[in-house]
Order: sequence, then structure tokens, then C-alpha cells
Amino acid sequence: MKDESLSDASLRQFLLGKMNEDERERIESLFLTDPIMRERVLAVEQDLIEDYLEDSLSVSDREEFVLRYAQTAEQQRKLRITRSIKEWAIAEDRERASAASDVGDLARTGAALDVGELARSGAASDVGRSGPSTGSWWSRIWGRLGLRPSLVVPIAAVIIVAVVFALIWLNRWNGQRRQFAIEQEVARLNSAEGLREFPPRTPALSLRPLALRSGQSPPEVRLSSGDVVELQLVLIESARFPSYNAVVRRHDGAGAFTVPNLQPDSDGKTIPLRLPSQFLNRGLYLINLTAPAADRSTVSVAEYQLNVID
Amino acid sequence: MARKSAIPPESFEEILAWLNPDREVAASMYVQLRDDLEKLFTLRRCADPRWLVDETFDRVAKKVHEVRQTYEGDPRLYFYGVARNLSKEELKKVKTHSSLDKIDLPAEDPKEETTDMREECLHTCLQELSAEKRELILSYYAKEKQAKIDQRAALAKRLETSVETLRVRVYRIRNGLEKCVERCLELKGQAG
Repeated sequence: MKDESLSDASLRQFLLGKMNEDERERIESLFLTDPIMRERVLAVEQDLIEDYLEDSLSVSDREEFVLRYAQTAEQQRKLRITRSIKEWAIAEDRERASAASDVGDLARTGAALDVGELARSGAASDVGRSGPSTGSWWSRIWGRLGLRPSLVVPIAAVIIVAVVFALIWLNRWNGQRRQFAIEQEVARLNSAEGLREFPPRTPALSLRPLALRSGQSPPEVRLSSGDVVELQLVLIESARFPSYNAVVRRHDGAGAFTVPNLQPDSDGKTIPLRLPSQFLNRGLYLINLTAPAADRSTVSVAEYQLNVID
Repeated sequence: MARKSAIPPESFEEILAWLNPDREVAASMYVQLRDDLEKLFTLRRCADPRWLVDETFDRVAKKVHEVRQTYEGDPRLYFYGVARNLSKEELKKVKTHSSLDKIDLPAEDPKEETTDMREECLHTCLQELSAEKRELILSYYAKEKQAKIDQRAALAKRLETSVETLRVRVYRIRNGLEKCVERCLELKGQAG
């Protein structure tokens, strides 16, 4: 029942409820059974949301949109998130354009350097003509370069900006390397080899999914209790997968790392998860357990909390 | 609106088996089907999509044993048929009398996120994307109105793909980004 003749424009009409019943049912059936069509519909929906946020919809489309996409608190939250993404992209683009424009101005200004002046100042050693001082080594260099005082500040600014960007890039690169090293270490610890090399020395702390904890305080673990924090993630019965991934992060989002390819215990009810103490800091952690589905999408299985104390 | 689940365990297992012989695949399809039906009920402007999804599954559960024997084709389309009929029943009810029984008005959430929290979460989640994906998102959303249309056409051409395919590619990245931000906001809401 695949149909490639449906354009994105017609999918947009579908999303706004502006389609006859037969066509609507056809798209709805495809939405449920054809993953490609499903993605297309959701992609068009994202663009529709964007058009709404930038006030590009007609009055009638806007009314239909609000009736479907801005009713519940959850929907309104999604709209705010989309707006944030859009605002970030626009601001980032403007910043880059502005920076590129500044560099362009400097380049044009720099091209105004009079090569003839350079040659003349070099031959005559007339440093006093354009330099800030006379007679010194610095003033001789100044004269040879033929720099005008009005160029110094912008050139210095460009150099400083370049150094800052280089430092930021270096810091990010180091951060990425560190992140990679952490994830490698954690993956090794949770592998079969890791279990043999570092057998559990402390009893595992059982974590129940957030959905089942009914507002209780999160379980606590002390960093001083050992080199490795041993956890057992309790699985909800409704869904089982052959393997899982866990994303571990602090509540403020810092220091996130992913532990791939976790295997459930033989009873299939729990998943052992081992975390090196050296990668944890005091605070509340969230562990998001996901699993790869057959259609290559990622299924969020459960979330857990853990309070790390000294 | 919450409702008590009326699916007996044996019917639940039978639904899973009907969706797919592989239980893991079936579980994934089950979750996806629920989400998709909720989306379709929302698009049809039904008052309480989640309640209607539960009702759909309850109705299928009551008949799954007999239906499985004779039904041919994708079982999801059977669920869709039940859901479609249910949505028509609901719309008729709304037309004949207005009832607020199953309508949940958006409640004011005292822990609603601030703009700062949202931006902080977005920043964190953007850092988790690869540089290539981040650049793609940036390029896709950087402009507005006609400039946006022109930019996306140029971007598609540069990537040697169609605008439609580009849209889907960006959707996948955006979807992950959105879920990351939602998770982060929920954490902040709990920690705050």
C-alpha cells in the first residue's frame, strides 16, 4: 500500500485536517504501516510547527494548527522547545555572519597598506614618519612594517580572537578525547572481560524505574565505597530487548556518557551496570535506558535515578 | 485522563504475538502503535487521545483471539479500523452534547521550565550531537520566510539530495534533540 505520489504539500493539508475522508484514511493507514511515510509526515509536521512560530501560516491554517498542536501543556512545551532551537540557529547564524563581516573589513583595511611606503621606509630607515617613537628597535620595526596606528587595534583584536577560538577548539578537542576515553573505559568495565578482570567486590545497588518509585527519594551510593559502583537496573516486564544502552548523566546535564551493549541477567529481569567511581561526582544522576528496535529506531525503556554522595 | 487498563494478561500476550512472532519486535511495535494512534486521534481533534488509545486496545483485546484466526494483512490496520470507528463515535458524542468529563484542560505546571533552563538544556544537547549534525540543524533553521526556503533549496543541492529527503534527515536529528531537551527539562524539574 506504499504510495510515493503524496507530496509534502498534501501531507501538510492532512496535518491541518484539510483533506477529504478517503484521502485522510489512506494517509493514516500508511502512517501506521509504512515507516518511510511516517517519517515524512512527522518531518512535514516539524516544518509546519516552524511556520506557525514564525507567523507564516494563513489565518485559517493557524486556527487549525492551534486546535491540534497547542492545546495541552505537553504540546505547548514542544512548541517552546522548537522555538528555542529556531532562536539558537538564527542567533548563531547572525553571529557567524557578523564575525565574517568583521574579518572581511579587516582584510580590506589591511590591503590598504602601502607597499611603496614599506619599501621607502625600509630604505630610508625613516621610522619617525609612521612609528609611535623614534630611534628604538621597536620603532624601526614599526617603520619597516609601515603600520598605521589605526590598524594596530583591529589587527590585534583579530589575533586575540583567533587565539581565543584556537583555545576553545583545543579545549573542545581535549574534552572530546576525554569523553571518548571515559566511554571506552566504561564499556570495557561492563564487558565480559571487564567482569573477569574486575569482579564485583561490593553488593549491587538495585535501582527501580522512576515510573515505579512513587516519589520516593533516589537510592544513594557512596563514592568512597569502592573503585566501581555496582548497580542492578530493574526492568519493567512489558518489554524485553536483547541488548540495551544506558546514558548516564548528572541532573545538570554535565558529564554525560553512554554505556553500550548492556546485557540483561540470565533471569532477564535486571541489567547489571558498573560505573567507575572516578567518573562520578557528588550529586543526582539520571540513567536513561534505551534499546535498539527492529526498525533501527531507539526505544526509551526506562529511567532511573541515583544520588551519589561522598 | 487516566483509566484502568482492562486488558487481561493473556490477551496482551496474544496481541503481542499477533503483531510479531518475535516478542521484542512485537513490544517495540506495540509501543510505537500506541504513540501513532495517539497522534492520529490528536490530528482528528479528539478530546482525550490517550483515553481513546486505551479504549482501542481494550476493544481489540476482547476480540483478538477470534480475529487473529481469520484476519489477513497487517494487524496494525485492524487496530486502525477500531480507532477510526471510535473517533467517529467520539465526534458524534461531542456534537450531540458537550461533556467535559474526559477533557483535560492544560493544567498550570508550577514546575514549568524557564527560558534559561530550556536554553541550558538545548546547549547541552547540542553538544552531544556530532559537529556535522549540529551544522546541518543550524543551516536548516538559520533563516526565516523566503530566505529559509532559498537556504534549504541551496542546502539540498549542496548535499546532492532533494528538499524532501533533507527534511526527513533533519527531522531525525531534531527528534533526538527534542527528546534530549525534554529529558533534561524533566531532570531539572525534579532536581529544582
